Amino acid sequence: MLPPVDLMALMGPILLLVVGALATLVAEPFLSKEDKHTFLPWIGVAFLALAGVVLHQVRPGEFGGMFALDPWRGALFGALLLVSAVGLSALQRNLRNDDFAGGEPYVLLLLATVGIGLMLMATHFIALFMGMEIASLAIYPMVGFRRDQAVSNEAVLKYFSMGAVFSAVFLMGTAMIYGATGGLGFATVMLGSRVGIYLLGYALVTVGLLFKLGVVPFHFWSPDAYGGAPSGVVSFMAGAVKIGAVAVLANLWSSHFFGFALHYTGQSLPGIHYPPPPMGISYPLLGVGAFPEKAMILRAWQFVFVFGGVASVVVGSLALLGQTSVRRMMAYSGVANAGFLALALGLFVKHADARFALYYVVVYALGTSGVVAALAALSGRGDIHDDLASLVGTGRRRPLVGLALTVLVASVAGLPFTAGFVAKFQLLAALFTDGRIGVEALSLILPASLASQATTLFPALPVFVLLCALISVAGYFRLVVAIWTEPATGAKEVEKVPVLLSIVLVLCMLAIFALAIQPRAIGF
Amino acid sequence: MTNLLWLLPVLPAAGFAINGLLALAGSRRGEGPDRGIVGFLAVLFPVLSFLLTVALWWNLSEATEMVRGQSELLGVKLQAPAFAQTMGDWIRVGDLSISFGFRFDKLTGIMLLFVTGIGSLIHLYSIGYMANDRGFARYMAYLNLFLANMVVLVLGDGPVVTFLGWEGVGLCSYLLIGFWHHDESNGSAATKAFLVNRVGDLGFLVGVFLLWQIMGPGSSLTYEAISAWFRDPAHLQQLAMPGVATLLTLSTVFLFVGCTGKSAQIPLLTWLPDAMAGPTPVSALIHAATMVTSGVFLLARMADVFVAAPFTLHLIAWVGALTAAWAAVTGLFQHDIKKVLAYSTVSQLGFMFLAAGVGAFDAGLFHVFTHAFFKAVLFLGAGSVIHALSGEQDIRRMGGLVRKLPVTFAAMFAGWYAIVGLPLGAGFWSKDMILERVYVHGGIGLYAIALGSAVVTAVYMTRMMILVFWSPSRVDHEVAHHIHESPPSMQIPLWILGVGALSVGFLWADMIHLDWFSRQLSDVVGAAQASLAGDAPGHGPSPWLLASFGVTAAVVGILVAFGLFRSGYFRENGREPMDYRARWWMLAFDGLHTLVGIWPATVVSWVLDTWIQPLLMGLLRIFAWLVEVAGSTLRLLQRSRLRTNMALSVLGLALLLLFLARELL
Amino acid sequence: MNLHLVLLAPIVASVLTLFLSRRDSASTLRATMLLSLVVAGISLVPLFGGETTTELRTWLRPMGNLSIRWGLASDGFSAWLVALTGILVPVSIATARGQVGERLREFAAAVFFMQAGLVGVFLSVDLLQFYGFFEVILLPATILIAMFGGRDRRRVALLFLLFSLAGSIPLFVSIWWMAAEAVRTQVPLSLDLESVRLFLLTVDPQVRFWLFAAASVAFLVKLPVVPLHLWQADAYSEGPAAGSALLTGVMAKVGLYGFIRIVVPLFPVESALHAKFFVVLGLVTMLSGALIALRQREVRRVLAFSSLSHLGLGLAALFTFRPEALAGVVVLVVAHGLSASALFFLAGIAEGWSRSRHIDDFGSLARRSPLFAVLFALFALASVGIPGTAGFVAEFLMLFSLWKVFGVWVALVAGSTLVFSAAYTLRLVQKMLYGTSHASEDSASQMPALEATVVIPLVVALVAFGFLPGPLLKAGRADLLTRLPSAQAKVVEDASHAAAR
Repeated sequence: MLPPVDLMALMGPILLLVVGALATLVAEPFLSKEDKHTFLPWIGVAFLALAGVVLHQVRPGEFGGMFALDPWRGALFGALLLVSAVGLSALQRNLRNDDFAGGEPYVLLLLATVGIGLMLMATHFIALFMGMEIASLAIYPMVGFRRDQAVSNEAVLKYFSMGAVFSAVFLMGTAMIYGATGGLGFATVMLGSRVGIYLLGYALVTVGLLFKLGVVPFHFWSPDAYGGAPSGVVSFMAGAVKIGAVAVLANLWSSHFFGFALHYTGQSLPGIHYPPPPMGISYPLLGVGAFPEKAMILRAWQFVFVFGGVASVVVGSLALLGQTSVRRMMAYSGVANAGFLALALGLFVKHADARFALYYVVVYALGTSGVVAALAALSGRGDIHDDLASLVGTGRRRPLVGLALTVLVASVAGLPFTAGFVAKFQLLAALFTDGRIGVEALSLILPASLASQATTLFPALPVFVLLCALISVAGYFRLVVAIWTEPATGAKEVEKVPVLLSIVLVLCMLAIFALAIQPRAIGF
Repeated sequence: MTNLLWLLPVLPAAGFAINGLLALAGSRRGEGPDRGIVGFLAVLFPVLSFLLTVALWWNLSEATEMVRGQSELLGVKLQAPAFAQTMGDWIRVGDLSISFGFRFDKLTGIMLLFVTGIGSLIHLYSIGYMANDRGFARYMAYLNLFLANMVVLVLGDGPVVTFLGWEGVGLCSYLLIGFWHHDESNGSAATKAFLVNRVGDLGFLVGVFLLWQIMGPGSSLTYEAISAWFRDPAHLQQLAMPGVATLLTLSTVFLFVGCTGKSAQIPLLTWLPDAMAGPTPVSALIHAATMVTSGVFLLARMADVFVAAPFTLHLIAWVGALTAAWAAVTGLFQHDIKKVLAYSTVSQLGFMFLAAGVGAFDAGLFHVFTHAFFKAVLFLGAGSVIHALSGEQDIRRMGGLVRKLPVTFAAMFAGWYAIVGLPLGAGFWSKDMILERVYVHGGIGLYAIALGSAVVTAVYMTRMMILVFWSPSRVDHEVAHHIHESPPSMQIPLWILGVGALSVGFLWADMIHLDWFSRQLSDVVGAAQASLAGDAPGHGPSPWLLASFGVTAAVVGILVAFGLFRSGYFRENGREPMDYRARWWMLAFDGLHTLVGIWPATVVSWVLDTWIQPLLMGLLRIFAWLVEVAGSTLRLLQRSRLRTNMALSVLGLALLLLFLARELL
Repeated sequence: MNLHLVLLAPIVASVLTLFLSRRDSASTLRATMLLSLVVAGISLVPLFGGETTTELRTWLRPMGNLSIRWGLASDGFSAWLVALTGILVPVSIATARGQVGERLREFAAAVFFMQAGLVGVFLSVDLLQFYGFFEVILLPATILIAMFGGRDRRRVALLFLLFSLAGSIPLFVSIWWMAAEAVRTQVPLSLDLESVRLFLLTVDPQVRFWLFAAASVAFLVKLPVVPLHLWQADAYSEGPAAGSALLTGVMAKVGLYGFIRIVVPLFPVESALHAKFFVVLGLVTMLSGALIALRQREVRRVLAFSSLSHLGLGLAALFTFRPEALAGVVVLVVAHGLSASALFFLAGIAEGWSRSRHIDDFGSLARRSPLFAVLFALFALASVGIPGTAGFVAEFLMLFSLWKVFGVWVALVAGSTLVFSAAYTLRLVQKMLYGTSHASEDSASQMPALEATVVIPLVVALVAFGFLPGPLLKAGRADLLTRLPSAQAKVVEDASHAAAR
C-alpha cells in the first residue's frame, strides 16, 4: 500500500515544470530573437533538471485516488524528463536554423512534458484525460509551427484530425466505464451485470492508447506527423508519448484486471509466475475487480496485443527499409518498436509482469529521441537535409554527433551491447519462454486442429519477430554508413553543434550504456 | 668438430641470406650489385661447406676404422659409427615427437661430398655463364639456397627433416626453372615442376605416416630408429602378419611415389624435360647431378625398410627399367641439346632405380656418384656450347664445333665416353655393375631391357656428339662470327669434371678388385642387401662376360648412330624423318597427367564456378527480392490520403471490437 | 593484469580516433599508428598471463531463475588469437592509407572497434556475452565494406550483414530455448559456458542435437563452409583489402574458435556422433574452395577461396579430436592468420598500383618492385605450407591426425590440398609477379617503407613458428576441448540479486 501523501509533495516535479513553462513564457517577450534561442532552452532544461532532483526526493505515495508515484513511475518520469531535455535542445537547434521569431515552442514542449507527467501519475480517468489533453494540445501546434512548409501543414492536419477522433474514442470508453462502474478511479469495482459495456469501454480506452503508441492499424498518423514535424518535436514526441501511453496501459490493466493496482504495491511489479497457468485459471483474485469472464478477457487481449504487436513489427521493419527521409524512417522504426511494446504488454497481460514493457519503453524513448536530436544537429535549416543523400558525410564533420547517432541507432536497432539489445533480448526470451502466449485465444477463433498446430508452431513467433528486427537492421545501417561516408561532391559544412545538444547527446549515450550494464537501476 | 653438422647447411644458407639481401638492395641500381663480391661469396660458402664435409668424412673414416678394429678384436659386429646432432624439438605434441636433428654417416658423407663438391664447381661455372645476366645476384642466392636445402635433405636424421630439404630443393628448382620469369612459358614449366613434385611429396608424407604406424605409436621417426626396428629380428614375424605386410607394401609404395616425383620416374617424369627452361648450370646441378638423385638416396636411406617389401622392390625395378627404356628412346627425337641430356638423365635415373629395385643399393648409389660427374660435365659442356653460340640450343643448327671449341669438346667427349659405357670410363664401371646385379638378382627380362636401353643410350648420345661437333657446321653465319671458347671460370669446372668423368669409376672397379666405394656403403646398406641376397640365385657368369655384353652394347649403339646420322642427314631444312611419328610417344605421360589430373579438376572447378555458385546466389537474390517487394507494397499502403488512413484505422477498431464481442458475448 | 583493460583499450582507441583531425591525414596516420601499436602491446599481455579469468558477475536476470553473467577469461588459445588481432591491426591501418586516402580516421576507428569485438569474442565466458561480441564484429565489418569497398560495395555489405545475422539467429534462439527450459524445469541456470555445459548434460538428447546444430550453423557461416560461403568471396574482394585482411585473418577464425570453445565442449556427445559429417563438410569445402580458386580472375577472390579451402581443412582436422589436430588447428589459426592477411595487405597495395583487381592487369611486379615480389612470394609459400614455415607444421599435424583417425585414403584426399593450394597460389604468383607487365610501366610501384616495415615482422613470425612451433603447440593443449577457462572463474553474486532470490 502506498501511503497517502500531501498533494504538494507528490506534485512537486509537475509544479516545477509548470513554473518553468510560465517562466519561459514570461521571459520570452523580453529577449531578442537570438537571445530567445540562447537562453530559453537553458531555462527549460534547468527546470527539467530541477524537477529531476525533486522527483528523486519525492517519497512514494498516492493522493486521493487521483495521483500516485512509485518507483516505476519514478523511473518513467525520469526518462521523460531526460527525453524532453533532449527534445528541448534539439528544438533550440531547429529554431536557430529557421531563425524562428518566437520562443513559444519551448513553452509548449514544457507543457507537453507536464501533461505526460500527469498521465504517468494518474490513477483516475479525469486526471488521465486532463494529462492527455494537455499533452496533445501542446504537441499539435509544435508539430505545425513551420507554417511555410507544406509537409508540416499536412502533418499537423493528419495528426490533429486522427488524434481528435481517437481522443473521442478514448473519451467514449471512459464514459462507458463510468457507466459500468459508477466511478472513474482506476480501481473502482464493476457493478454487477454490466460486463458488456464495461469491456467495450475498456476496449475503446485501450484503443485510444494504442493509437498514441502507434500500433498497427492505428499507426497511420506517425509517418506523416514525424515526417513533417520539426526534428526537435519529433525527438520529443517519439519518446515522451510512448512513455506516457505504455505507463497508462500498464496502470489501467494492472489496476482493473489483476485486482491489485500498480500503485498499491510498494515495490515494482512481481516477476513472472511460471509455469504459466493453464487455460481458464485466472490470476489471484485479490480484492476488487474480480469477475468470472476475466480469464477469457485476458486471453482475448493477449491475442490482440500479441498480434497487433507482430503486425506492427512486420510493417515497421519492412517499411523503414526503403525510406530516405530519416524522420520517416524513425517513424516506422517507432511503429516497429511500438510492436515490441505491444508484445511486452501482451506478456504483461498474461503474467502481470510489466518490467519488460517498462524497461523497453525507457530504453527505446531515450534511444529514438537521441537519434532524432542528433539528426536535428545535422539536418540544417527546416530539416530539409534529413534525407540520406544529403546527410552523407555529415557525421565526419561532427564526430560527436556522428558517434551519438551511431550508438543510439544501434540501440534502437537492438544491437549489442546497447540497452536496446538487452531490452529486446529479455523481451523475446520471455516471449519464447512462454511459447503459448496468445495461443489460447487462437484456439478460440480457429478450429481445434488448426489451433493445436498453431500451438506447436507458436514458438516460431518470437523467431519471426527477431527475423524482422534483423532485416530492419539493414535499414538503420544505411543511415550510419551515409553519415560516415565521404560525399562524392564537395562536402557541405555542418555549423557548430550547440553545447546543450552535445551535452544531452552524451547523456543519452551514457544512459544507454548504463541501462545496459545495470538494468536493475530502474528496477529490472 | 662433430658438433658442427649444423654448419653444413647454415653456410650456404648464409650465402643465400647475404646474396639475397645484396640482390634486393641492388635491385634498384641499373646493373645490380657488384658481380665480383656476389660471385666470390656465392662460391666461398659452398666451398667452405665442402671443406667441412671433407674434414667430417676424415674423422668418420678414422672412427670407422677404429670400430672395425675393435669389432675384429672382440669378434662381435659393432654398430658402425655416425655423427649425430640434435638441435632440439621441432614438432612435439600428442604421440608425435619429431626433433630437429642431423646425422652424418658414410652414405650422407658420400652424397655430401659430391653435392657440395660438384655444387661448388657449378657455382664457379655459373659466375662465367651468368656474368652478363641482370639477375646475377638473385641467381647466386637461389643457387646457395638450393645447396643449403640439398644438404638438409641429405643430412636430416629422419624422414620429416629430410622432407624439409625435400620440399626446399623443390622450391629452389621452381625458382630457378622460372628464373627468367619475363617469359610466361618458363613460369609454366616451373609451376609444372613444382606441382608434379608436390604430388610426389604427398606420397612421401603418407608413406612416412604409414611407416610410423607400422613401428607403433610413440616410436621416434629417425632413420636410426627405423633401421634398427626393421633389422631387429624380433619384428620379423610381426612383419609377416598379412595386415602389417600390406601396410608395409602400401607405405613403401607411397614413399616410392615420392621418389618418382623427385627423380622423374614413370609416371611423374614429365616435369624434368620442361625444367630445362632454367639456366644450364641449374640443369647441371639440380636436374642432373644432385636433386633428381635424392629419390635413389632415399631408397638407400631406407634400404632396410624396402628390402622387407619385396613387391615394392619389384615395382621399383620395373619402373626403373621402363623409365630407362622410354626416356632413352625419347632422347633419340630431341633437337634441343639440353632436352637430349634431360631425357638421358631420366634414363640414367631409371638405371639407378633399377639397381635399387634389385637390391643393389650400393650399385645404384655408385651410378648416382659417377652420373653426377659425367652428366654434370655434359650439361656444363652443353652450356658452354650454348654460351658460345650465343643462346642457340637446337642441335640441328650446330655442327663442326670440334675445332671451334676444343676444350668444351674434350670435356663433353669425356662425358660421352663415360655415359655410353666404353671401357674404363666412369659409366662403364657403374653401369656394368648395375647390369651385372640386374642379371643376377633381377632376371633376364629386366636385364634385356637394361641392355637395350644401354644400346639406345649410346645411339642418342653419339647422335648428339655428331650433330654438335663432328658433322659439318649448320650454324647461322652471324652467330658463327663470334663463336668463342668459354672464360676460365667456366673451363676449370669442365676440366675437373671431365677428368672425374673418366676416373671416378675406379673407386669401385670390381673386376680389378677396387671396392673402396662399396666398403664405405656396406655399413649403411650392407645388411639390407645381405638379407636380400639370401633368397637370390647364386652368382651368374663371370663379370667379365657381362661387361663385354655392356661394351658390345655401347659399340653397337655408336656404330648405329654413325650409320644413321651421317653428314648430310639434315639437308632438307633441318627436318628429321621420324620427327612427327614420335610425338605421341614423347607426350604419352603428359597426356596421362592431363587425362587423370588436369581435365577432371578443370571440369569440376568449371561446374562449381559457373553453375553451382550462381545457382546458390540466385536463391539468395530471390529471397532478397521478396523482402524488397513486401517492403515496397507496405510503403505503397502508407502513401495514401487521410481519409483512407482514417478508414483503415477505424476498420481495425471495428474488427477488434468484433473479435472481442465474438469472444466474450 | 585485468583482462578488461585488454578489451577496453581498442574501444578507447576507436573513440579517440574519431576525434582526430580529419584534414591532416599525415598526422592521423601517425596518431592511429601510435594508438594501434599501444593497443597491440596491451593485447600481447595475455600471452604471458597463462590462464587468467576475471570474476563472473551477474549481468542480467530476465526471469526468476535465469541469470546471465559477465566475465572475461583467457587461456593460451584465446591469448594467441587476441595477440594475432593486435598484431594485424597496425598493419591494416598502415596498408590502408593508400586505399582509403583521407578517410583513414574512420577506417582506423572501425578497425579498432572490430578489434574490440574480436577480443571480446575471444575472452567471453558467458554464452550471451559471447553472442553479443559475435554480433558486434559485424557492425564495423559491414561499415568497412560499405564505406571503403569497391563499386558494388552496398550490395555486398548488405549480403554480408544479413547472411551473418541470419546465420547467428539459430544460436540466439537456442539461448532462448535454454532460458525457457530452465524456467520450465525450475532449474536455476546461468549462461556462463561452464554452467551451460553442465546444464546441457541434463537435456533430452534429441533436443540437444538441435541446439548443437543451431550453434554449429552460426560458426559454419563465419568460417565459412560450402554452401554457406556465398558472402565470403564478394565481401573479401569488394571490401577494402586492408579490411578483408582482418576478415580473413581473424574474423574467419572466430568460426574455428567457436567450434573449439563452444560447440565441441558444450556438445561433446553430438560432436563425437557427427564428427564424420563435419570432416566430410570440411573436406568438401577444402576441395571445392581450391577448385573454385583455380578459376578466379580477381586476385582477392583467389585469396578468398584459398582461405575457404585452408579453413575447411582445419574444420575437418578439428573433428578428429586428436591432440595433434588441436595443436595443428591452433598453428593453422595463427599461421593462416598471418599469411592470408598479409597476402590481402599486399594485394591491396598492388591493386593500388595497377588500379585494377583483375589478375591479368598485374604482372612483372618481380621486376618493377623486387621487395614487394619477395614479400608476396614468401607469404604465398607460407600459405602453400612449405616446410620451414608455420603453415607446414599446421598442415603436417592436420593431415597426420586425419590419417590417424580416418586412414590413408582420407589423408590422401585431404593431402590433395598440397597440390591444389600450390596450383592456385603459384598461378597467382606467376600472374602477378612474373610475365610481362600489362600495367603501364610508369605506374608507381615502389613498396612504401612503412608498409614494408610493418609487413616484414609477419614473415619473420611465420618462419620462426615454422622452426619453433613449440609455444603454439602448447596453446593447443590436449584438454582444450574439455576444460573451459571459465571453469575456475570466481562467481560473485550481487547483493540485490541475492535479495531477489
